[in-house]
Amino acid sequence: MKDIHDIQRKMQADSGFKTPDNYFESIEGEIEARIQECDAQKNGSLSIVRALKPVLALAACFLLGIVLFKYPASLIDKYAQNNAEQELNYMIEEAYFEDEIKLLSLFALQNEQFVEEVAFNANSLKEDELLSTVIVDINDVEILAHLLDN
Amino acid sequence: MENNNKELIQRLKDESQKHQAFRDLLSLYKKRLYWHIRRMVICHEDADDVLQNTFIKVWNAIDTFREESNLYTWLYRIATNESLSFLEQKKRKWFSGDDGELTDSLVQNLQSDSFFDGDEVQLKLQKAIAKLPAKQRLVFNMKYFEDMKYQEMAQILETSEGALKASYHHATKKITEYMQNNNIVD
Repeated sequence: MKDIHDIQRKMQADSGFKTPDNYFESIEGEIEARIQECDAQKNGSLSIVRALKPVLALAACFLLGIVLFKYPASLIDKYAQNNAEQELNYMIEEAYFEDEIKLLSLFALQNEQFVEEVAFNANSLKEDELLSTVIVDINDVEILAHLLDN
Repeated sequence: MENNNKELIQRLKDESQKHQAFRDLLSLYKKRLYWHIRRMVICHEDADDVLQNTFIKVWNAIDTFREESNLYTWLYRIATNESLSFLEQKKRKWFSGDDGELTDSLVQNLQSDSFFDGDEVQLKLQKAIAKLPAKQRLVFNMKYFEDMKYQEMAQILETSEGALKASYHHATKKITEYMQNNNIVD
């Protein structure tokens, strides 16, 4: 490997760049200062968390105390009772809706049977009969009278 | 040199000697890294910022340095990455990602830089270098000014020697053309 100082001399001599006076003497101090700053920030943030831990624990206890004072056990019991009632009502309503759904399902099943019957009758008709039914010239009054009779 | 570096690394990893070892590291490498960075970012103030960031990264990462490469290779790699990311950030922040505008700005800064006292030929050479793509510029600087071996460059830039040779060849060709067009060389 070449002598490091030879390389540095070559680098400065050829490029035409220069630095402010005493730059290389002062840069070490600047870098060290920035490193200390970074370390202090790191330690600072860690120590803040450490310092805040007991304060946060105390605050949590205090909040718990307030909650217990404001909402004593009897109120909590009452709330639980109300909840139980609401739950019961809900269960009754749910049972009612379940019955409704069952009824609707039965109706749907019956309808399915009806649709199947119609489809079966339509298939059993002969093509000629169907055509003759369609071609016959029936006026609207006759159709209405027929429907009213049925 | 290598033994000295090993000893330096051990001291850097030892909490009780870390600060003194870091001072030694600074005095050993500050100039080399500064000139390496300066040639990439051109302006002294920018080079100063990038150099400081490089050493802060070194300080923060020294405990994780696995010694798979030489210390100076590792330092050069950090300095190179810092310089390239600085230029990339500058390009995105001030020139909306345009390479041409960044190059023009580097050239203009060079002309008005109070810390550049090169003659006309040196100014033209720096202008020609500034016009190269960042990676070609890096390769050209490392070879031409620092006389670095391709093997060392390959370790720092984590690329093949063949690719570096090709890159240097293209860079030299472009610079020669620029100098000829500007009547600097015949």
